[in-house]
Amino acid sequence: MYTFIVRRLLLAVFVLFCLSIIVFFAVHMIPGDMVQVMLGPAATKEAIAALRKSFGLNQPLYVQYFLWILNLLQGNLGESLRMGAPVLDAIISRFPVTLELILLAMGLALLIAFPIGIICAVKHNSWFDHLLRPVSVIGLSVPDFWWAVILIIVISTYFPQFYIVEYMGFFDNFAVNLKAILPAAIALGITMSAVIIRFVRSSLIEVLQTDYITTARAKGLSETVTIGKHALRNTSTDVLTIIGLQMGALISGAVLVEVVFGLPGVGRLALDAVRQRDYPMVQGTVLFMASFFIFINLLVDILYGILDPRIRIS
Amino acid sequence: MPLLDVKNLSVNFNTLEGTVRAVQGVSFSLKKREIIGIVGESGCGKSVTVRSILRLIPMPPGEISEGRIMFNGENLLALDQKRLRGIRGSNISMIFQEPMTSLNPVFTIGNQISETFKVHQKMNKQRARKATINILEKVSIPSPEKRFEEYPHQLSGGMRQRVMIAIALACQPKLLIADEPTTALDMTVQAQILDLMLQLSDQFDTSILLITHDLGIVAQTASKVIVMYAGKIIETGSVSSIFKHPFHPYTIGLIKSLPRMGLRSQYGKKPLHEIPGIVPSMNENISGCWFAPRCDQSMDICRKVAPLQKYIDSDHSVSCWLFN
Ligand SMILES: Nc1ncnc2c1ncn2[C@@H]1O[C@H](COP(=O)(O)OP(=O)(O)OP(=O)(O)O)[C@@H](O)[C@H]1O
Ligand SMILES: [Mg+2]
Repeated sequence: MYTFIVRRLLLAVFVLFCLSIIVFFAVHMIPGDMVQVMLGPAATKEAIAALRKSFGLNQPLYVQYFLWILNLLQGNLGESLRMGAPVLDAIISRFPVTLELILLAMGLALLIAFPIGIICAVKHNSWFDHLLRPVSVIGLSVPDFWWAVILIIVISTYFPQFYIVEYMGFFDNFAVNLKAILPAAIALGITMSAVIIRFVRSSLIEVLQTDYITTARAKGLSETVTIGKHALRNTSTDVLTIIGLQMGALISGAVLVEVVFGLPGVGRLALDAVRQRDYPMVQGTVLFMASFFIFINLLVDILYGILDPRIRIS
Repeated sequence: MPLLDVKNLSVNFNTLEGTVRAVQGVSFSLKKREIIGIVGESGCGKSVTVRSILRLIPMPPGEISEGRIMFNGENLLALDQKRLRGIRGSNISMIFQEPMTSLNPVFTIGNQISETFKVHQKMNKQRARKATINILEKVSIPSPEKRFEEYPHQLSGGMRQRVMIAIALACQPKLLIADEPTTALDMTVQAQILDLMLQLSDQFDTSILLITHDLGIVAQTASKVIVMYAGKIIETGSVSSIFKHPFHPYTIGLIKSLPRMGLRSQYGKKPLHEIPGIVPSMNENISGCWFAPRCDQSMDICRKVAPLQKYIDSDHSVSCWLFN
């Protein structure tokens, strides 16, 4: 188990390294030049060159990358070219919003998906199961930002008392915080739950056909124990993997939903940074969210190992 | 009164390709402490027949369209779920073919055996643990305390099948249904597992319904044989009678194809007998005898009318036009 974790950790470090290269060069390939944007179309060539030099943008790309990585290894993501403040500080102050949004969305998705997925699997080919197919296709094909817009319209029209203009932190004002984040989490969670329902359903149908389920029934166990204990335990390890993979969709969904709901999360920070060609900030936010994704998947792998004795004891 | 009396059992599977008539009007009965062997080619409905006894076939697509299964005077097919669960694993137990997949990979051996004690004998955790370790000893699993905490993947196939036997015999059932319990095991392990099963059943007064491909095993263990072909019983009788005087051409073929120690056929001078052709697919509609297409003695009537069961003597019957 320990070698398993160490292997995963080493792999994560390697992936992060590759990622840093991709992020850095991708960011510099965004068309448009920050200095040009800052100084406006009337700026002289000299002024542009001077500013580029002061930002270090005149050096060759690989030198810039090297300097960036060197700072990164010291925990320094550089300074925002726009805010003049450390990138890391900005991200850390915004991250709780995104984290809360993602966790809430995932929690809601699981809460919806498990009961429905279980019913569909246990009574598969029933009317409920058949009804769910088109519904889940809708859930899958409608993007989360569309749900976000719909939710905003519904809330502001029919439930104005829940409409929040000013976001407040989790510890500052829990009620306002929840009112602000919950609709966004619902918008994100709906799409996610559609994915997970299908997964729970197909995984459980497969598990219910295994020999050990027949053994459980032959022992005289009730359907509740057979499904609740013997089948679901195996299904949930399957679902765990999909949760890790879906984190990617959840993070990118969070960017859009944060923008639609005006939540001050890392997603919005990143989008603003792209608009302003704030290279260090874009690099910082993308790398941060990617690390978060890798971290979650690492956690999933470890949890998977804990849940599955075939990995834990081998 | 027999312990188990199956009357006219028919099981269908309603699939997209049509109705598969997996079992068609099967009847047999089993006395207390008796061991009956069921033999027949792959796909002839052996597993479906015995799984129907505990209603363990998937429904849908499966459907028990006809029949009665009396166990201790109760019709198992008419029981409600709760009553049926009370019988499963306590009065009637099953062992399956694949020891690799019939145990849940994510729970310990101990957990999976104690469940039976908890469910049927309402034991608490400590008592169930004691009983489990006790039964693990009975099935000759070394260091049972240690094995209790282990997971299926840490055990060999033979050991897992011992665990399955432990689960099945935990409550000293009246009937053990063993569906090819040794097919997936090494030759040397096969004999051990079979011995263990027989020895414990003897100790607990358990009757056995033993499915196997292996007529040799039947000859060694059972007192009665049921020969199935394409969902029907085509011949049944005592082991001695069937092995000495098989009547049905299919049974004769089966016995001929049995390799025998010390016979020339073992050394390749005379090849092992093989029954030509394959089992018909069971969604076909055949009006005559299902074996007729493969039978070298078939007559006109065989292809038109299904043969009836004919008693040769009190405990040997055959369904074949040659004897009607
Ligand atoms: N779930 C199912 N759906 C459709 N058909 C099935 C199902 N289970 C069994 N059958 C059909 O029922 C017939 C009998 O199968 P069964 O498993 O009883 O054969 P068997 O005699 O036990 O063979 P084997 O020796 O291979 O175990 C087969 O033709 C099979 O195709
Ligand atoms: Mg079978």
